[in-house]
Amino acid sequence: MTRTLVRLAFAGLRSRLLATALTVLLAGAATTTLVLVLEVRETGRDPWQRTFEAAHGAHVLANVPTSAAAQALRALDGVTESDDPVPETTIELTTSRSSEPLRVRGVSGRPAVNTPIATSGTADPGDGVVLERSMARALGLTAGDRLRLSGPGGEQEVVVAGTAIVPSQSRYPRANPGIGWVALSTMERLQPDQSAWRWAEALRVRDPASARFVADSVLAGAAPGTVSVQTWQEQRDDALKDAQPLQLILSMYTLILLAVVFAVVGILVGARVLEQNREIGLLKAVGLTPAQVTAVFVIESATLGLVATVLGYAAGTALAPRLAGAMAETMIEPPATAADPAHLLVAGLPVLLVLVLSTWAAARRRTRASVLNALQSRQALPHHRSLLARVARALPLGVPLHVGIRSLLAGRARVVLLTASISLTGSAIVFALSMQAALDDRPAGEPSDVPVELPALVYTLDGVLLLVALTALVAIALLSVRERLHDFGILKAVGLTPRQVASTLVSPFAVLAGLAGVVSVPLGLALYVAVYAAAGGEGDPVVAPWSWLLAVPVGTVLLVLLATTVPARVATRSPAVEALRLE
Amino acid sequence: MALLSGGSGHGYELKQAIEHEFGALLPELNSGQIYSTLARLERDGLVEGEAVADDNRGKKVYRLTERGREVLRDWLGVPVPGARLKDGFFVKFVVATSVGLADPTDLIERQRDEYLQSLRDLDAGLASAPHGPTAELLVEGAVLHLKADLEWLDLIEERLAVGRSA
Amino acid sequence: MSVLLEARGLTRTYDSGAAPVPALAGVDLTIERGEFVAVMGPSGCGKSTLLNLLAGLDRPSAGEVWLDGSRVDRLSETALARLRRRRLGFVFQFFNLLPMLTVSENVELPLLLAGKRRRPARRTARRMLEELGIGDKADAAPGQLSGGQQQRVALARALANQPDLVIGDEPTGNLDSASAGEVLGLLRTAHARGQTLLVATHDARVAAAADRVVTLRDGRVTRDRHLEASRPVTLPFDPDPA
Repeated sequence: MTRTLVRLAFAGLRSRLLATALTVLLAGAATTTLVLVLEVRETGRDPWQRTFEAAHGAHVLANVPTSAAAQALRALDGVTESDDPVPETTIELTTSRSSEPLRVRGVSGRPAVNTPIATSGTADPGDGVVLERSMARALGLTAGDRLRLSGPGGEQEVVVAGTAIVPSQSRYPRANPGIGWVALSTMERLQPDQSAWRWAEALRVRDPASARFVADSVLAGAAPGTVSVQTWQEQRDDALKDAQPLQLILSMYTLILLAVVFAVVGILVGARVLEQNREIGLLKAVGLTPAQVTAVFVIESATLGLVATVLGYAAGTALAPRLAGAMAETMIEPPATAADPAHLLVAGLPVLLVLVLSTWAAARRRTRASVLNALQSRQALPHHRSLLARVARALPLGVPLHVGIRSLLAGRARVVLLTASISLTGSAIVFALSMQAALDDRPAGEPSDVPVELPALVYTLDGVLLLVALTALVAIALLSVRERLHDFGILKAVGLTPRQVASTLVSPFAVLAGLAGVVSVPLGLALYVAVYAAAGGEGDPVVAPWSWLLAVPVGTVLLVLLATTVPARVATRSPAVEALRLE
Repeated sequence: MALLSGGSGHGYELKQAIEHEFGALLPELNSGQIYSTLARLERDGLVEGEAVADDNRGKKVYRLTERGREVLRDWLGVPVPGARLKDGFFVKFVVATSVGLADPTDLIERQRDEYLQSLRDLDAGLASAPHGPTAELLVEGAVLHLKADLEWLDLIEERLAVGRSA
Repeated sequence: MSVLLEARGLTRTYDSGAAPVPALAGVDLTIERGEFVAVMGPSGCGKSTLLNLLAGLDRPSAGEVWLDGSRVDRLSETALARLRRRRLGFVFQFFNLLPMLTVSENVELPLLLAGKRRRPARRTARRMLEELGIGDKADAAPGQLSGGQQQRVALARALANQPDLVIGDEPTGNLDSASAGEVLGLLRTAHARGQTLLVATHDARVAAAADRVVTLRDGRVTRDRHLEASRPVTLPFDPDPA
């Protein structure tokens, strides 16, 4: 029996290639997204740790007013390693484009603790300057560029000797001013007044867990307000905060993408079962129990799900390193991660469950209907008494729109899922528009708080979402056409023109899109405000202006019209007799 | 006889009972028919009559004999034979076509017209005036038979065509 | 009587595989106003094809269709649709009601298309349903009705706009004999009121109700006969009301 059921399942899959392919694509995309989330989350902590190891980072980093005070700290209880104090002061960095404050550290040789790690050029400033990498990127500087350093003691033209990273410094411009390293002599020239210098003392302790106690004893031994201390845990949390906006946005988009994908998969699965209504009747007439018929569909979906999750996992593990690299601006690039097979399970299981459960639910409903019902009818009993149907009846809609809406309402789950998908996609667009408005709002020249890749990431993700939504719309339009072909024949026989018949498909979709588009505006704004607050933004966020927001519902309607018009026109061009022959 | 199975009765009572019970089914009877039928039944030994003493008109009271009951039971118990292998048209068809007296298709067409016309007549008859349910049932039966006969004509015509092309 | 519908040399050939299959091979047919014409023939003879061509639901490979003096087989789909909504009504074997609309809405559809406003259309639809004996089902879904009831709805929809011609393709084909009788009675009533009817059927009783029986065989008309007026019939077991 099982073998028969499996064979039936595969026959079913072969007969509907488009929907099958689309389901695999979407389920695969969902798996890829989940895998990415898992992989990236894991590699988040790791690079900082590696950076800390490589730089021989400071468990406790103190900033004190005098060299003597710094030296005294080296004798604290628990300190195992330390080097000479490093002087630092603030000067001005001027390029052809802008002028920024720069906190320079005067080095003579390589510090033993909290060593800067060269990421391009050299970490030894020589006569020039080594800039922290994120600042260099923000200012558009690379090794070899010339710039001017100026301080109370004078000006100096220098060359950028290289860029470096250090675990104690988080991303510019969140950490402002940025830092750089110069030779001690250069620093003396720029700021001869040593009383204006501060001294950084990097300490390593025997028991890293006790770093907080050591930091407290540093503070205790000094006058309040003169000393600042940072433990390695605080350094790490600070560095990870850099990734936070990106992670928040990635999470948000992940959730949206998953929601949209699952909604569309639900629609495709429901449509599939609907189309097989007659088949269900035949199978039951032949002698399969309802449970066995449901099993055929579930086997189909499970097969699709397995293929999709494997493909998605492969794509996800291939993409993960690139994404992780984008987030590790202030850290060492993560090594090529070996694919974690556990992720296949964790990512694949929800996708598989969604596919199988929605199939099971849809099939169960259909197989419970009597055999005769399934053979004779093509659709579920319409809900005449539902509120929406009554609203549709009361409004002065034209005949095609009214007929179209009633057809649409006959499949209410689909309407809900479709509206949700469109709203979510629209809200992501609103999010991107608000982000763009915030960026545009900044005064020119000021480096933004927003990491450089963020707009690119957001637009790319929006693009992916739009593509998924558009593809799904076309597929759903094609499905709807196929389902309604017989009804089209009847409508033509009764006297609707081909354009009116096409309109019965297109106009309700357009109305749905308009409503969903309107809903997506407050939804997207709410998302933006929430993410902004969660990412530590201050004050009221700038949101997209009304003119831009209006474009979202309008654009949604236009896109849906685009997706549905062609299938509808093609379907209504054939003479009525062909459509009526179908049953 | 069926009426007498319930008990005995006068001829006059029987006539009234017949009209009462079966008035819709049968045409009006006169007394003479009743009495002559009763006499025949008595002669065949299926009923027996007894003179009523106090009635000087010489009326008899009749009742069923044992044999009468048997005959009645047999009549009810045995179903009417189903296979009807006698058909006026078919005889005509076979005879005329084997001898070459008439064109088979023409014969069939004309019979078909006649059957259609009969259908028309029956339906018109039903529609023209209200009828009892029994009469309606009879007409529906006739209609169904006519439809079956028409199908048979189609079959004959089809076989004819096949026979010709073979 | 005037000629309502005329078919001249109507031909329909299907290209399937190697040899083209002629479903209709040159049919001439004239229908006058007020006539009830039945088309009979064995299955595959082309009855449905003929009806579909006359209704504009399909296009002929050759030949002409004339409705009330104007040629209609060359009209665009849009023009045909507009023609159908005003001048033709259909009854199909499998009812073909729109399942997502109520019974009343199904009947209102042609009325709305012809330009009637909502309320008058609803009133007319309900009146027609009452006349056909299913007024109480006006707000039900088509799927909830029996076959006979659904066909009556279909008939109401066909008659809604008082069309010039009602075309029925095996209207009793999917009904039990009792429902078939009811539907036939309704067709007769419509005919008595002057409705022109063209019905393809294999039910001899339906054909017997017609004025004229056209027989098709292999895509050609083999017989076209008027039926005579009915003769009186005496029914046994029938008490004389007089």
